[in-house]
Amino acid sequence: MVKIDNNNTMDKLRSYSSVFSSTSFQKLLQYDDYSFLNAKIERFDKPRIGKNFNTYYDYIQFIYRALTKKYRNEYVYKNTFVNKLLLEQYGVKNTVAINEFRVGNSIADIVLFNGTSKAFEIKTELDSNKRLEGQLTDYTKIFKKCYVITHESLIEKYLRENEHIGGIELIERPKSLVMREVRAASENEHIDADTLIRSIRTTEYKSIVKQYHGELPEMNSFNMFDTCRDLMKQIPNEQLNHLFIEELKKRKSNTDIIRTFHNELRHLCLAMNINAELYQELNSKLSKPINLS
Amino acid sequence: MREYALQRRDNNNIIPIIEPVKKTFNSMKLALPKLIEGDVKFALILNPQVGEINNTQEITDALQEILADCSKWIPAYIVSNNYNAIASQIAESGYTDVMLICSDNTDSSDADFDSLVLLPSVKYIVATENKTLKRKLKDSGKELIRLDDKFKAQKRNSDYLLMAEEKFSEVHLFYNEDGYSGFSDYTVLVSSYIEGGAVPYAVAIHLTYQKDNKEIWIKHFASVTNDDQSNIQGKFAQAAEKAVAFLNAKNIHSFASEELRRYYNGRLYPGLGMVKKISIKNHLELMNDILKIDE
Repeated sequence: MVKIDNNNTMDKLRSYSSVFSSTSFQKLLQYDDYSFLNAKIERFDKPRIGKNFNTYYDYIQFIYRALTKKYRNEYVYKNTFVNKLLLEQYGVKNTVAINEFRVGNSIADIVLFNGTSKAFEIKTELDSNKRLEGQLTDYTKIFKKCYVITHESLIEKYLRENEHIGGIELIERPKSLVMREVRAASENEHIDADTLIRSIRTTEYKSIVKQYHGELPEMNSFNMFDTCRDLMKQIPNEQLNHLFIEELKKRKSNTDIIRTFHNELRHLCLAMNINAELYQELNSKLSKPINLS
Repeated sequence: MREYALQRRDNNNIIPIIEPVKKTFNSMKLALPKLIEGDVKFALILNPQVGEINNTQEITDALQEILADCSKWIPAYIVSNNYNAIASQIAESGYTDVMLICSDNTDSSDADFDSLVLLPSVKYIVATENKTLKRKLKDSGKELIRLDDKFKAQKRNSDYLLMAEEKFSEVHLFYNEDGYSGFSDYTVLVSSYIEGGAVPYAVAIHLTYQKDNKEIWIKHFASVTNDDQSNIQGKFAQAAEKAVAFLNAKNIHSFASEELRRYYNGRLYPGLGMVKKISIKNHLELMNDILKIDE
């Protein structure tokens, strides 16, 4: 028999899982709007104020802990990736990490540019049993290495689907979550210029073409895309890969200061590209005691 | 708006109704003086229902100098079901010739609503077609303006490919006969306010024009290769090519249409904001010209 209480717990966790949203935190920063947190406290946790938590940050920690234990959504995966792999293994020196990077018609959950380029696709235990193929076909067109990140119980299944992708598993330890690479990705040799030009900004593709060809031909805004695509196709693979990586590393990024953020909020701050100054502001807002009036 | 104000020549039959949404007021500080300079009377909503502004004070403080001459603009309030609150706001402000804009939850049979609209300081009432209200205001000396939400947005810009044109409005032909002092629309925008936006898959240009039978129709010109978000410039070229061919075929030469021709012929992508501006300005110029001819 399923206890009725189970349903309520699921509702609560599902509701918790929406807390880590850029839009909500943007509103908090911009308008001092705490309603996304207050509504949840009011609904689920009012009696715990003063016992389990006092400040808004305490509450976020409380929610995050609950999610890591019982409802590991995409945010938990992404944030664990930042804490356990990006910071502890890959390192953030000379690295740009980007949340949600569009490639063709798919969006890679996280991408990294350092000496090489890597794309990561997350499949949580909560995700439907969708196949990886379409997305990975897109990513491999421009990224050197592609990985799937999934729960330890699912990793084998996904790795069987595709022999080229690398695998990263999320492991549940009694006190925390761990992440580790279980299979290295094989390197993609070919960079597809046609997909690349559709995945980066106008200034970026112009810069790549200019760097290789020395100058840009006369173009107007209507034929610029087609002209640059043809010129990009002439760039040898290894050079195109190198220019792509160096160009994307020029994007404004807070990857290098990510360690200074509270560890529950690191991925959120990365996604919002919050700078040190704005983080101070966010931190001071979250350090306030909970106020439901 | 500010271009229209200076290009309308000696002819103006339009009163723009403006709802400020940003606390910075930058665009207001640019546009409103231009409207005043161009003698285009405008209505300014003093209790915005969307955006960042919390109260009237923020508006009147930020725009104090620009709004100093009350003969140049019309104070406007959006009415929901807060009739008494609006009435006391008007009383406190001391404004006269005020405009009320009724919304979907305005109950025109409410007694408090009656006393609000019949206040001597209220002059204009903007509302969707409403027979009760029309009867009530007959011979009251108030100017009733009919509001129609005419622009039917599609979910995606690429959907406009399937619907080349549709009827936009014929209200300009009958509003007087129907007992209205004027009519109002949201130009070629949807009535609801949406903050921000993302790079679209398709580019669409919406041009209103008058058919031989005097009705206003709207023609949609959308880009063709809409399978991803890349090459927005090329997509603009595709939509503009069709739009310019249409303008040429119909021999339409307004400021907005000339601007579009200039971008297209110069192979220049002006940005999506400009594309929207051209669509809106074309509509303003069209309606202004039609009203002049009718007079």
